[in-house]
Amino acid sequence: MLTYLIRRVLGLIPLGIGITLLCFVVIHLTPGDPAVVGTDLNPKISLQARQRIKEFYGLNDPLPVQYGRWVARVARLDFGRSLADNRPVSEKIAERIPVTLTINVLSMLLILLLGLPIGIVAAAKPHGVFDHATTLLVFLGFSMPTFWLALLLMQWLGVQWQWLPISGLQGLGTDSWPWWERGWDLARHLALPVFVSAFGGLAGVARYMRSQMVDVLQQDYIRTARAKGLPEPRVLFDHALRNALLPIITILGLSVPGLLGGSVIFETIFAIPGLGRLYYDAVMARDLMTVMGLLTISAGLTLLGNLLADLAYAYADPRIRVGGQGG
Amino acid sequence: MRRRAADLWVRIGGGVIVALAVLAVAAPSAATHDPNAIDLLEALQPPSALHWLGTDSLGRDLYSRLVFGARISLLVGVGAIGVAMLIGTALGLAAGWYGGWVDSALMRFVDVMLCFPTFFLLLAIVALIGQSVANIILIIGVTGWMGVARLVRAEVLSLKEREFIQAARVLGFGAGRIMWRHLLPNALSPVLVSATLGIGSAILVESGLSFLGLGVQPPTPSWGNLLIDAKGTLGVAWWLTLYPGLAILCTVLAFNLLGEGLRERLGRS
Amino acid sequence: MTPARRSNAVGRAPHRLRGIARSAAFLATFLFVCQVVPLRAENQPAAGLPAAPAAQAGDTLVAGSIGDARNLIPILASDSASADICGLVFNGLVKYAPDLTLVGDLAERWEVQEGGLVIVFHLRPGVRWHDEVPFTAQDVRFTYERLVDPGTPTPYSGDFERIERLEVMDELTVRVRYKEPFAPGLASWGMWMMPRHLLEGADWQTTPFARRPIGTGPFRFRRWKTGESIELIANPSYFEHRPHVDRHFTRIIPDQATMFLELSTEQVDLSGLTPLQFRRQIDTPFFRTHYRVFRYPAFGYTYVGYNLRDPRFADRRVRQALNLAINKEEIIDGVLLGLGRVSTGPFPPESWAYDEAVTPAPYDPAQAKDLLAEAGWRDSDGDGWLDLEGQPFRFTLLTNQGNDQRQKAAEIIQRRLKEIGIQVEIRVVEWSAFLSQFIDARNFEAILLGWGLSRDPDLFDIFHSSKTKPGEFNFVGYNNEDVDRLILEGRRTFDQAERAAIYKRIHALIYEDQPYTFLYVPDALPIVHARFRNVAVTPIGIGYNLIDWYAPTAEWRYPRWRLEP
Repeated sequence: MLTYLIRRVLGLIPLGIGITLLCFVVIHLTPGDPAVVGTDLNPKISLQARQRIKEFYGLNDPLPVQYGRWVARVARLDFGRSLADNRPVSEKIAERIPVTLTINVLSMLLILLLGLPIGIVAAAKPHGVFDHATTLLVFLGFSMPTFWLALLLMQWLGVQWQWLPISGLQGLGTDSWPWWERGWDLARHLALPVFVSAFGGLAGVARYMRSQMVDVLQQDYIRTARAKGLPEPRVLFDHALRNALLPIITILGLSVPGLLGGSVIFETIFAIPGLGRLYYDAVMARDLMTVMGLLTISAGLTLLGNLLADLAYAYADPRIRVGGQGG
Repeated sequence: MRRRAADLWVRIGGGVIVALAVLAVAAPSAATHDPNAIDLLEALQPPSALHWLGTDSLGRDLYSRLVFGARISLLVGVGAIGVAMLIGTALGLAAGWYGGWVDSALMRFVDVMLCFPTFFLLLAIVALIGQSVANIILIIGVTGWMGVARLVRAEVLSLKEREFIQAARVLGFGAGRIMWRHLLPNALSPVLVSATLGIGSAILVESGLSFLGLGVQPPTPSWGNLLIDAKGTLGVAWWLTLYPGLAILCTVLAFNLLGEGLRERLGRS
Repeated sequence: MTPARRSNAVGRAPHRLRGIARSAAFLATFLFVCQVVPLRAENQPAAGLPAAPAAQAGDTLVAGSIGDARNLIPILASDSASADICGLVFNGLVKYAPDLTLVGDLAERWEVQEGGLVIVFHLRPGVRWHDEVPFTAQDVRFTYERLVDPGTPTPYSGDFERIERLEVMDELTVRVRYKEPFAPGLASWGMWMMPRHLLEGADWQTTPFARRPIGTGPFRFRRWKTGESIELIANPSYFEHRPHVDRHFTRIIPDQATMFLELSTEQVDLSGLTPLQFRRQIDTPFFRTHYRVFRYPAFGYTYVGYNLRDPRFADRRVRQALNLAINKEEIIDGVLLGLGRVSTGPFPPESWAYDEAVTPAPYDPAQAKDLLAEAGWRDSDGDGWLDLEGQPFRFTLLTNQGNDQRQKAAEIIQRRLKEIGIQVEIRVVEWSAFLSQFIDARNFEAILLGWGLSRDPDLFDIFHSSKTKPGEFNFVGYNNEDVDRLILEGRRTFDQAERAAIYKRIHALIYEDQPYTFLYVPDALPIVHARFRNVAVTPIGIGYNLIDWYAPTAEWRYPRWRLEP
């Protein structure tokens, strides 16, 4: 396992280089002078911002030198200071990561919780009524503009029936409440965002699970199991599921960037201070420092997600560890 | 039985799309009003015989705007996926055919691109180069070709070993000709299926950009733009929220069902 | 509260553009930015002024803001969200009273000497910073020195650069000598004062003060959860008196639709409404019983500015024709739903500088066409578009993204100009690109923008011909010798009646020249939860007496959220 781990981590190095190179190219693709930034009519501020960008990226040096120095800083998680509020970019990102991560992990769990059973049951009787109904349902979620769904739910659940809070993460003045009340308050605030982000992602897992199950159920060993007279639930859950489940792990690893990207929209509408909002604000404020930091970090998070998925896969399926390169 | 079920999705999805395409092409005659004609006396009217789906806050006819909006949304969807297919197919063909370092380099590039949240890249580029229809099509395409490239490459890898390709090589056909005449047509069907699914996503992406104020420029009535107008009238003018949302939902759903149905068919045949 | 403090911040020129240009992007903060004039509370009559003695201390006022603050250092706070917070935490030396006169804030009184060349401020004794250190004349000097330090990236230095020197006479007396008599000078001392003992030698880039401000104001800074909320608590030793509410809590809600839904569930107590919300969404039993809505003209205007370097727009007849061809009433009806008034010049109608004799030109497309024909623009090839020397009259109207009202106004203008044969293309550009690529580069034909105004009518920054360099605000390139001379004269004149005569003259001249087509003065539409008492509209808005607002105990919404002693 250890050698596998080392091999996987080493495999990330070229990707890391690729990511930083691409980011670096983006900086230099900025139309005109990359240092023309700032949203302020105040020439003094734009001048200072320009100066800082020039300094940070060493824009007067030869390109390889610029790149080398920038990567060295990135490796230490130093992304410079935000042009909008002068705070270190890494600090700004660090304080936003927990929120976005929590919501995404929760919605991923919800997706698995709903998507796996839907896929399994649908696969048990392909093209049955349940299969059709759920196909339509998951595609409905996949086809729905996130913000539209969010607005409708906020209008109904939040305003009309007042079951759930509309936006934010925390009720007002709840800091001094006992932990169980705070927990309940948080859960109520998270309900809508988690649901909205999960509903859109349901299709991927459910459909994938279904097709995997359908494939597995046609394998010889399943036929054997059925022929032996094993009860159908045992066939489904003991024999088929284990094998069909494995590829799902990879899907989860790959879905990290999609979730991060999607967070821009629902964090804006639900007033949640996470990475997505930070990124959007930075783009709109031309805060190049923060934009670059976030692009790099989000790509890093994806790499991490893929690595974890690989490891989980290897853990679940010993053949991978021994055999060649997985994934 | 299975075949029939898949056909059902194809028929429904395809039917909706064809109808929509006809409506979009015939927009000037299908619309009942000039989509940009402002009539303040008619502002925020609920659906009626005169304005089938009601009017917006400047008194513009929502139905007519939706019909013209279909043009923009379909154009963005199809255009963006066209761009993505072009890039993805070219790179996938090259990677699969040449193999070796070309393949590794291209596939590492795909891996790197896949590490970035597409929507992040989109936002940054749109904000930097501006939000015309052409730009948006281009940007969605440029950030969305990676799946196609992988798909084409996998197809090419498996086709490469098939007899007719081997035969073509033995006969001394040039690489270009083999790719164009033999590989491409055979690799195309799975690509088209994924493109169908992609069109739906591209339409959604455009509406998402509009929501953030970075979509197609108003007064161009893209569906995303219509929904943004609806934000401000939530609770006053339900029709402004409902119909554009439904239009997007149904269209994207149609593309998804069509793609899914096609995929099923392909998988079975 | 905020508007009151904000009106202190008079004569901070750069803020003007940020003011409206931004505020329209951030509608909810609109009311804080636009300072106010007559009192026309539409729904409810203004409650009687000063505080009821029986005010109970407690409860929290929840304000909704579209944007997060960026930097809470007073002289660097250049966005409206930061300025709103600074207005509650800091004080200036002077402020505007509800009747629009300047009164002392941190200054107890002042004397203007030597014909306006010198101002001597006598500071209020016994004022302490929130960390209990006494406020003294040294803090005033420190603030001034930081303002004019070229290394300070402040947009507010302009008015202070007119100062020749500033002397500390004693701990509570400051003497300011100007290079020449400078009428807007006194009002510029509404600038918030900064504590020397905390900021001396601090690096602007890194000082923690930017996120943990300490001032002299009615509220003390408690906590800032980035992107989420900013919490201020009542300052028990505020020199006027402790605010009755325990807490001022700003919630950051970036989406306008979400903001309104939060209002609909009473989760926000104070916000701004859009005209559509005002007209169509709040006329429900719920809103009538739970909120009070106010309406008064904002202190700013929206206009179309023409690049006067463009030969087509250099011709005054063309600009006058455009003015005749654009129907402002229609824009006000369509975009503001009637919640605004026609603007005829660089001052809102409530200003003492406004010339009543300037009558708005009627909507008269026929006369517009005549004027254009006189200037040579005719449809000679019969294609429906006017042309001159083979060139059709076609231009691009730029406006900033994120402002629905301006986009709609642009669409209406586009249609009206089409009727007289001018082809307008609308381009909506994201704000930062708008500034850097178009405004600063002077790379535009026409723009649709707004100015938020300070109370002092000084027009130097916007209309004086010396202010056309990159980064300066006369970006249309207006140049009229008479106006230049009058602007300078207005700055040197202290007598208000004399000044008024000068600005009225300027108003008439500018309207004659039409460097802008003045469109409208929008109304500010704040909404406040009905449990708060003592809320009233004055010429400077509703927030000036925030410390007197209170909610009766029985109506508290946050009884569990008390201020621990």
